[in-house]
Amino acid sequence: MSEQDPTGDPPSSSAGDATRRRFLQVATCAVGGGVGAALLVPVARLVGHPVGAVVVSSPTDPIDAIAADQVGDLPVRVPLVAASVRDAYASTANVVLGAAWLRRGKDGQIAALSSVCPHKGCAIGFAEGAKRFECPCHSATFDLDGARLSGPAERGLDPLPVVIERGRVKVTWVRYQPGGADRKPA
Amino acid sequence: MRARIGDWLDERIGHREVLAQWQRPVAGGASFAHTLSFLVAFLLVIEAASGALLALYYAPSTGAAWASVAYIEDQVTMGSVVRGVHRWGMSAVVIVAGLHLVVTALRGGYRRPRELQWWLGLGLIGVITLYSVTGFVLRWDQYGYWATKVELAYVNDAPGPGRQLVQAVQGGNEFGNLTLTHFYALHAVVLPIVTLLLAWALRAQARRHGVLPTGGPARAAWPYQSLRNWVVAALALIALVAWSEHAGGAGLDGPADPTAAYDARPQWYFRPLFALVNTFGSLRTFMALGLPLVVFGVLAAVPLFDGRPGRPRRHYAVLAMLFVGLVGAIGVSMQSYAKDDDDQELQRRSHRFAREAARARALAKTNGVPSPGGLAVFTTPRFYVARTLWASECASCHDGDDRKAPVIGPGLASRAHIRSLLLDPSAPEHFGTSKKIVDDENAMPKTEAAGADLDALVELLYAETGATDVDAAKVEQGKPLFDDGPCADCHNRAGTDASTGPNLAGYGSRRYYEAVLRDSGAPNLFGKLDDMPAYDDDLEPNQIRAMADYLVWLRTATPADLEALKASKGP
Repeated sequence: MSEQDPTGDPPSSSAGDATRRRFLQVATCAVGGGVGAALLVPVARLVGHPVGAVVVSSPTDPIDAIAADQVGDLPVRVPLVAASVRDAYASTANVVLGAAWLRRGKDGQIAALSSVCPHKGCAIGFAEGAKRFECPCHSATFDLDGARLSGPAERGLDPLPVVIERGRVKVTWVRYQPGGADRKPA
Repeated sequence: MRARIGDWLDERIGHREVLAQWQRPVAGGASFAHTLSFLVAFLLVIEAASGALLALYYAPSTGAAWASVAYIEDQVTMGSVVRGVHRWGMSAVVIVAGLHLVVTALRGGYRRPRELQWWLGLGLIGVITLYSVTGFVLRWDQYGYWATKVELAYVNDAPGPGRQLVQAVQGGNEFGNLTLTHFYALHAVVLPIVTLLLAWALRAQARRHGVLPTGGPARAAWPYQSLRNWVVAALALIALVAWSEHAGGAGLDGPADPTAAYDARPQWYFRPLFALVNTFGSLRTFMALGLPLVVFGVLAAVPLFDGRPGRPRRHYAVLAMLFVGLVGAIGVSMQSYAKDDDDQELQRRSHRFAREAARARALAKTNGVPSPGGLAVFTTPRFYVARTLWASECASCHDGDDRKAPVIGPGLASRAHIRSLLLDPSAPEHFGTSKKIVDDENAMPKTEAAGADLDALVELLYAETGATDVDAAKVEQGKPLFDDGPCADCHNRAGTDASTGPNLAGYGSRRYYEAVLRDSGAPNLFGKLDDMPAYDDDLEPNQIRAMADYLVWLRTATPADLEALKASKGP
């Protein structure tokens, strides 16, 4: 015998041996593939766990923001501080969720706009000279009522619910998804 | 002896055969052109090593992330150097990998049979950009927080499963603890594994197909190529450290503040995208996500377009495309940087954020960062709660020219203050501006006591504050003067009984101040003469206590102490 079978099997001539080897090869792939597929289950489940889940949450009641008599014709930025935030495994007191821009409209009613830019979620600023809201990231601009003036945003600033209680302005924090012309809660 | 150890080892691991490969002449010879792949590998090892060192100190949670990075940056020995090398090292990898790509293209190194190397290299460059995306949010400072927020918002807008992808990666509906653990795991575990696999595949390919000949004589890799490799690596490391020091290390902005109108800007290698996104109106989302895919797709198609040698026109077309792409990317980036430089408002904001960052880091270093997270560092200055309450609740009446009540300041309830109060209660700094009190028929008259008697009365009241430097003999002397004199007509100095004026038991002590803050109109305090709001309902007990502690501190404070306190106060 001049050549050795590279597989190490004894030289075979019978069809039965070939069938047997084929079977063992298929069996190996089946067992290995089964192990691999089984391992994919926890991978998919753990990676997918946060999808659609509310991981970060805080009480939905209105947050005390500022005294009503301190809100005038020009917008003031007020941070909204949640009494507590549940964030995955942690519960933390007094967490700044974001900011509201508060302003007294022509009708004397106080309105609140979320500071989260509806384009890509940056926090907008107020340009006192131009009397308009401007996003520092991609230059979206909005008028005093939050309607879009120019730039990439597809909708105006998101309004936040406001109630006045005992002379204090209370604002409900709502986070919307950035992007799009419609408001979808995040 | 050495030979015997060598034999022993070789029998077991066969290292001589491996080492002998390095000594075999390689066709094409040694060249500095071949050092680039080694340099990429070297820099990636530097990244892994510096990253492992940083991981010794870093904590990925919203409460600790910024604080732990500030600790590394400002307190850990050589921490800022290692962080600087880690950050700018990745920039160096981008530059060297890009250079490698260009050199390979110049020499047609993507042609058969090296297509796989080209594609694997492109894959490696893609992974490198993901290191940047996942690494920057870990700082949890304004810079990393906002840049990553915008990047994810673009993915969120992508058609198909963009939203689900964002939720899986950021760990739920919003930025939070899981964002940090997810990005940390991707950055420090998953991507390195992918990088190792790619590097292994690239190395196997390089061995199979050898180096691109440079025309020089055949040379052994060891030492001819190795020396060149290490010389280049040493120079690169020196340049990297020098640049990092020049750039001020990795830098650390103030803690992530979800309310701040921060000018989010990407890393320099994403700047062309940022510039194009802001230039092309309706094509924005395509520019941000589609353009990188198109660029990668075109680069991946290069070996298919110019797959075999001998077609110079196709090679020139590839080179022309690369050249135009590179020059274009550099051009739009420089334009975008110049635009930011010319924006006065942006520069003003950026200076303000830099000042805020410096203050946050100084506070973090001296006081530590409270567990809610980076932003809470601003509440750590001494008497922060009291000074904040002072500004919002007290200053309008107790400070400045439009006062409506006594001055509350350094030396409050000190001997000098009590003496001055007794001598002229209706002076402007005392009750002179408290209309209800000075206009009342029961307004307190100036004391007629003088000399040792006055000293004794002052000491008696001073003892009520709980001060420790009291002259007990004088106090004893003062008791009959108080009890048998005009003071007792309106004031008690013991118990809790009410009278016309405040009960002075514990006057100037924390307990007294807490009672005044809770309800100064209580019958045993100012009663119907009171004109100050009661804070019992509006302030938390710990706020009242913090304010009372501050008022007690004022007794021994000097105006300079107060100025120092104001200087250390948060925003």
